[in-house]
Amino acid sequence: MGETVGTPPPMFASRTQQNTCQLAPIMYLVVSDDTIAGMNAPAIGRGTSVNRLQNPIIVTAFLIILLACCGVSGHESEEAVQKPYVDLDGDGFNDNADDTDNDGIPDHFEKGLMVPRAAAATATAPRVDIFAALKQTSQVLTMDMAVSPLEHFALRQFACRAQSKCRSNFESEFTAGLGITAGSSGSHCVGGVCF
Amino acid sequence: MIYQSRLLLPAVFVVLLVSATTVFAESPGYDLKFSLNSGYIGNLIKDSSSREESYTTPGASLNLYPFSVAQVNLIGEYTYYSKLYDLSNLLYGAGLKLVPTDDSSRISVYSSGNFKKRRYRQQDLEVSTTNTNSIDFDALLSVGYRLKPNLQLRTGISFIATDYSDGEIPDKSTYDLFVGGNMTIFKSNSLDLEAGYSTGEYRFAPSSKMIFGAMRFYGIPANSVYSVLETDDLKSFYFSPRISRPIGSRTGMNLTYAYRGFIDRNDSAIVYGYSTGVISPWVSSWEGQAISASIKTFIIPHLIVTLAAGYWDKEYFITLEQPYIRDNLLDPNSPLVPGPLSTNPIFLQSRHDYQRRVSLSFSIPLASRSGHVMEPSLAIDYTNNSSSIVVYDYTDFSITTSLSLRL
Repeated sequence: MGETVGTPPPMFASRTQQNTCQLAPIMYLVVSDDTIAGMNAPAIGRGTSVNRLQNPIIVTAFLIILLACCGVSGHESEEAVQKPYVDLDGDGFNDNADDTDNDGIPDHFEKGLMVPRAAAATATAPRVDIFAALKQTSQVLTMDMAVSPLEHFALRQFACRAQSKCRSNFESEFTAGLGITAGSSGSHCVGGVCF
Repeated sequence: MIYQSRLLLPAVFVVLLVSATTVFAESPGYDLKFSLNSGYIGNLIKDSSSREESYTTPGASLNLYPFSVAQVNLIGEYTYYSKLYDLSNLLYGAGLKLVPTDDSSRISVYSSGNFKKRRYRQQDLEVSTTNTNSIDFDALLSVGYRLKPNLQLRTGISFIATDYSDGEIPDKSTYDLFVGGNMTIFKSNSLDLEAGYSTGEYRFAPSSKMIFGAMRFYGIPANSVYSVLETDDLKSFYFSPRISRPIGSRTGMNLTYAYRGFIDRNDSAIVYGYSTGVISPWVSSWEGQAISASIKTFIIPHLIVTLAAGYWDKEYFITLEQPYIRDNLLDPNSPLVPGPLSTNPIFLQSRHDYQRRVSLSFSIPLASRSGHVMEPSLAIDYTNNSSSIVVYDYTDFSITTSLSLRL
């Protein structure tokens, strides 16, 4: 059961290498049968990686994102800005934004949950909205309010969200926030090899 | 270490189970999650054979909180494949997390250990590799320090191991040391940088034996498959900068670059490729670079949409492969399958892959007043992999649907 790093804890929340070296040896040890595939592969040397990175589609996509990054003024709502902006999970949103129902969507993006914290405890039911009607309107939990071991641990774990794994596996980093899983454990394994 | 873990891991698992059961009776602190994943995979084996498959994975996990600083996790899931039925497998395991530091403390300490065992319905199948049951184990200890509210540093060590139940197959273990930092600049731009060093033993076939040995012309003699392997240390380093920020009021994005390089790489080391049907845990080890970007948006109310794209440039070890042949030699349109191991020629080739991947996912989390969350989701994934070895030239299109319920 994969756990998304950076997701607020349950129920609370809130808040070319230019390899100048020789081409790697390419050693065909046989074959001249037309039915055999695999032997016609062009040899790609170790020094070609830089050029391939200049693939126009990739470069274009990169530039678009870079321009978006530099040119679009990003801002979140006032409520979110009141707290220090910290994004340890890398999704582009403030980790400290309140998410009282722990659904992964910050409160200020949800109708019916845009309730000032002080008034949250006495908030009445929101307008008629099939989604909002499902929401709870409890207060944002703090360590002072936590009573059970579960609540205490959730807050402690949230503080450690950036250090619960390292990024050495580049593929799993890519899929971490996407929900792309063949099994609920987050890996897709066939015959002893996991993808 | 690995060999000791064969005895140690089941013992740890039993201890965790017993302690969890005891604790569960004393404390109401727990949460439970059920999930049901189902989907279509256009290329199950991720190679040029393009085997289509569909699967269903029901699963459950239970988290227990014996103390405010600890979490015990038990998981179990079964993956059912509709065509390659014997490939269906059961995954179960246990884990322990300890967080002794308070959330308001500047210093945060985190440690975890997980054990997972995968059991296939049947081993030694006629797929492109020989499946075998395995145990995965990982452990991590890390320390974080909050210098300022928007500046955090972290460091840690981790250990990851895979232990195959077939004693002949070499086990794999890797140690990682990493350091990283995260800071916010210019209001809402988050810059995260991480670097790490990895080391671990690996088993490879020296090229001298490949060229002058008995396996030069035809196949790999069964009694030589693993006995010719030699052991050395595989060391590598990586660094990965990432920038993330909001775009507008309801959308966030990130851009991540990563580079990994081997240290003192043995250029004559050879690993068994996928098409040989022999398992080598290091066939997937690579150096090179990767760049990925993702955009997450809440523009549509109650819906989380994530679009991601990535590009990988990977240089692998020299790989021993067995050419694919047509399943039906008389039909040029029949699928490519590995030829018989003992009668077909093998070849060695450097492997260099370029992979492009695009993914789109949707999820609708529904939270109830009582704190339960139900989340249906859909993910679409397209991968294009081009390789210097035709065996690894492939595309894959997969669709995954998921429904989870957290109680």
